Amino acid sequence: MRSLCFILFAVFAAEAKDLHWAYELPTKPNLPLVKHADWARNGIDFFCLSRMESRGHTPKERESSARLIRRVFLDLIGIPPPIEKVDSFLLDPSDQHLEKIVDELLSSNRFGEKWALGWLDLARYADSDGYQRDGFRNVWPYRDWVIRAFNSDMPFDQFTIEQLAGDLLPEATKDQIIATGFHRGPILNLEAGTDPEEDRVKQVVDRVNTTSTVWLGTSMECTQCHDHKHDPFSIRDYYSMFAFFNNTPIEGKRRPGGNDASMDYAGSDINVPVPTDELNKRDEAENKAREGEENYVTKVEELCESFSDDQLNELVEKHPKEVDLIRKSKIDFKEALKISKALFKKGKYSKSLNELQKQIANNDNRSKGGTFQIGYTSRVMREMGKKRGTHIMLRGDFRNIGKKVSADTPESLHLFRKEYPRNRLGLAQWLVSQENPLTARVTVNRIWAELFGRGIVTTIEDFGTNGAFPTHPELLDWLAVTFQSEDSWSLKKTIKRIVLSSVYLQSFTVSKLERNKDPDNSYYARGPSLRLPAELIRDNALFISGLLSTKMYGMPVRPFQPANFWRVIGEVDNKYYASENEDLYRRGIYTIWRRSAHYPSFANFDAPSRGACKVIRQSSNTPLQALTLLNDPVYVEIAKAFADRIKKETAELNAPKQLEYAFRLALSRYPNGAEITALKNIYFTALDTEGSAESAWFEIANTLLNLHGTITK
Amino acid sequence: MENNLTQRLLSRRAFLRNSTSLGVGTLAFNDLLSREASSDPIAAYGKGIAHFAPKAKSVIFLHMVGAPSQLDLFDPKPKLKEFHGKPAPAEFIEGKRFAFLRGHPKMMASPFEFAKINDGQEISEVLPHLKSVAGEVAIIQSMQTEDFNHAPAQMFFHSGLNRIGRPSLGSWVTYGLGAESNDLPAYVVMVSGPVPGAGSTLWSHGFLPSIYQGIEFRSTGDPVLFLSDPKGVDRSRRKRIIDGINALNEVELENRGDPEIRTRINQYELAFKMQMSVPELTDLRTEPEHVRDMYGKGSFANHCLQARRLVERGVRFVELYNDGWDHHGGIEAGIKKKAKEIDRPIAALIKDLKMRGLLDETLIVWGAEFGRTPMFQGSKLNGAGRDHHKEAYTIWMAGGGVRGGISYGKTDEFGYYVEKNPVLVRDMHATILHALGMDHERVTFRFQGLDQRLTGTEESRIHHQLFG
Repeated sequence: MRSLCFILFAVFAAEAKDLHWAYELPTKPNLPLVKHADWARNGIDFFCLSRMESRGHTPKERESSARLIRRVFLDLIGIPPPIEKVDSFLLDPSDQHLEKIVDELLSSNRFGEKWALGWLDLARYADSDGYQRDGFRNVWPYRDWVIRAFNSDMPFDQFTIEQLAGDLLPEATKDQIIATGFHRGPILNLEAGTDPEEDRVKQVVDRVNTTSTVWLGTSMECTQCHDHKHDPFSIRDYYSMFAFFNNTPIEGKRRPGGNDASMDYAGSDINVPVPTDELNKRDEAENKAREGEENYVTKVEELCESFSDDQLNELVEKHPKEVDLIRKSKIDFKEALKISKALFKKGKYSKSLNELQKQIANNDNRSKGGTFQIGYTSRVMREMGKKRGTHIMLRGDFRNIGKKVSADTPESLHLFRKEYPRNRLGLAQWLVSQENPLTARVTVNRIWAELFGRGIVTTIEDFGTNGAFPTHPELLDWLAVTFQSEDSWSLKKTIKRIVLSSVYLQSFTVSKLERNKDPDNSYYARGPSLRLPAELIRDNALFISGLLSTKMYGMPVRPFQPANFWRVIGEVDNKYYASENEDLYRRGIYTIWRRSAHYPSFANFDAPSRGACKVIRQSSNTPLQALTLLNDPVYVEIAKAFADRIKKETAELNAPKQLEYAFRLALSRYPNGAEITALKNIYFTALDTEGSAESAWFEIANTLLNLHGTITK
Repeated sequence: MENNLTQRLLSRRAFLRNSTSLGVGTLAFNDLLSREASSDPIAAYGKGIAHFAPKAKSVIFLHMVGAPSQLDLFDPKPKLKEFHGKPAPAEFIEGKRFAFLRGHPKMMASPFEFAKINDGQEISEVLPHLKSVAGEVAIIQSMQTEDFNHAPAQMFFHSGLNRIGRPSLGSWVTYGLGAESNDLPAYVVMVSGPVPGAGSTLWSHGFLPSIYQGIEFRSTGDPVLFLSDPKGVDRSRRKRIIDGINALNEVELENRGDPEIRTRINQYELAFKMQMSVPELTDLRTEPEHVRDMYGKGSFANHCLQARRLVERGVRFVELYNDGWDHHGGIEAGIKKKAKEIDRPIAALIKDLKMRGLLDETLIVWGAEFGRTPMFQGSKLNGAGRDHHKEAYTIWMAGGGVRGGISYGKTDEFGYYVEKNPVLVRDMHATILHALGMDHERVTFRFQGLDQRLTGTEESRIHHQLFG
């Protein structure tokens, strides 16, 4: 079998001499000639149109205005346009107006909350460790960092460097260190009996695989055990990359003195500022604790006063120290405790004293920050002074040590320059170097896929020889070079260019014949229409009903979820409690992400568990989704709020106009004749059967929130 | 041989490079996509890709979470009596790592009596009911695995990888064979006791499309999340609302022509049907009393009875998890208690399926993430337990064309290593797919540039001797 692998590798190595397209530097191609240049709005259109024309596809006209502005809103900020915005665009649907709207959306704070979602899938961001214990972890400040980075349009090279090596930058700021939370995403096994070193190695493996997937468009995973069968990467390359990540402190340690092989968390964290209202709550608890102590002392003193001198003389034999205390003119809390422990442990006052003592302890605990499941620190990368030696691990087994290797990038890719330090910082610089043929291509392809639902390279996670060849190779290179050079790695400029292209603005509606000719829209002869990702389905519903909170950042929040859903066993506090007030209606990105049981309505809409780097989410269509939108108490509450909103805002209108308004809140566009008939039918039947306008509006709200169009961009 | 294989792999690669259709699995998936437009809700699962006439059509997989001791249930070792309370032979300890055992551990014989039955089978006295149907059961004493911590080993047992990310066996099976029921999910999971360490990862669809995800029927509250209508919505009102949603979706389908809308309409219909079929299914009062008596009482017994009802209704893959087998201490009492809990229901399940003529087409697999050591844990024999053991342990199969009454594979005299016919986890997977009429090398799905399969890239062995 081994010799067979060798033969195969030799065959492929020979083939690999012709450099695979993705490993050649992209150059900016000229725009191709097209017959209908007037259709094009920017460079992107020339490449797509040229391919359409060569295969006999005709581009579609611009999407109808209401649907279009909704698409743009959902793609840029993940919530639909308010009716006023739709109205103003209907009045002036010009390209100039559209561009103005796009600029506004790109500078909205909601932009980062939408675009960070996909990046957090790559960073396998979660609020718990995974595995059996699945304890909570503090890394949410990193999530906030990502949102801010998207909002400030941090150039992608800097975005890369800070996340991979912010801690190694000269005079690193706190934010730059928090940014390294990217690679603190791997799951961590603190289950008793775990081999800490084995788990550490698994985490480093995850860092290598994720880095290569996110920036190089290749999972080097295969080379963990053997030389790659298709791509020019060797097992040596793998462990040379491994060496870059091999110098951070171990994160799980055997509990000292424990003989049950229990584990404790031991990784490096950074403190983040505690917000004022939390500090106030702590002060309040501190005051309550001191007050409680005073009460306790007074109570004990009162009880002691009732002792007669004779009684005290009797007691002195058995409790000499306590009697001394009683005879003092003033005692403190500790002394009061001593006395009550000795003398009032039993008897009618024990219960109230115990109760008081418990309250004091609770308040003391709370004043120190309390035992939260999540706290005010963030997991970060830290380089150890003394580096670990790295060896090839034969067949990927950490006990099976082969040759020693040092930190290096794969031999077949561009040069690791002398000026780069041989650490994570150097690796990050190498990844965003102008000589790297992959990073820019892989990144623009991911953005393209987020907007169109498919990549120019359809195997978004694999740009290797086994991946798909780009459907529009020149477009990919044109976008990549523009992104990397002219736009200086600006993601916002790239996104803007795509959403203002004629390709993107096209109508989604095509004839059956045209659809069958290109079911996957690989020629882009129609616009995109995709089901929203999990978090946005909820954001969208909250926005439509008027419940959505725009509060940003901070500790993960907890919407209502079914009872008994967190069922992990072990030492972890599994109690789920819902957040309060507006925290119940925050955007989905702030929802607590527990890997073993993440928020069920997100899971039903394909949100990954984030156990590993996920490049693109699936978009399934299941009965569980129907049940979620119909019956999840959260959606029922949203439907009620939506019904109230309709009633309140349309009190002056007649029923058809009310229905039209409700429809527009959910779908932005006006209903057509058939739709208004269907709505009237639903409304009046409900009114007849249920007998109240309230119930009828609830049915309308419930119906609208469940429509395919409502959960689709 | 080597040349042939090389040839085959090379031509396979050429096939991949030159063709847009990528292996059988992908064909099925493409088929799935094109069929989503049809009005048949079953079609969404694809029509299946049996490679040859299958013996089994469905699977009931019983996972004993925590890992029962094979030495106290199915693989007795008289030699351990000699060594009872004595140090383990040095060669068993050298260079070994255990999850919890430290120092030089000592051996422990099983406290239970075993009866020899059938063709070399031995079953512990704590499983009297199972013994009565042992003629249907093939005991596999030579199971091996690669991880000895619960969560990773559970993932490995179900997906072939000890980390999150790959589809579970149940997902592969439903992906390969499609669905038969049009009002129930194709892959159903039930958990008695706490949820296993690796959680819902164990029934994850991994990189397969999410319709292949196992759907958990919960024991408390709604059997399927969000199955019950909210207060104030009765069946007729729910029907009316869904009809309204679908009427509006029909208009949008007309407007846009997107086949996804057709699928969504179907899924709302299926959701409505599930709201009826799932409660009916999980309501065991409709079973005659003598049948319920046969299974006995308790959550696991109910799940076994439900498993039969599910396969009867065309559900492809049913998975039952039963927690509480991690006997690091007090193993004698622990095993007795757990064995009592599962013995009667499992035997009833086999008998019940047999009576209904369903046993031939239903493969039952009983197993766990690993086994337990012949050495004991604890300071003294009294109240001792056994540590995790991955080198050798026991699983069994029944029904689905499996040759009953046999014992397969063999361990050494201490039950420490496998001596004959080792069954690796990937072998077990390949063998189960075989029982269902699928060639494990041809059930593939393209992901990360590779045609992925359940059994991975290393060679897997189908254990044909298990079939009669």
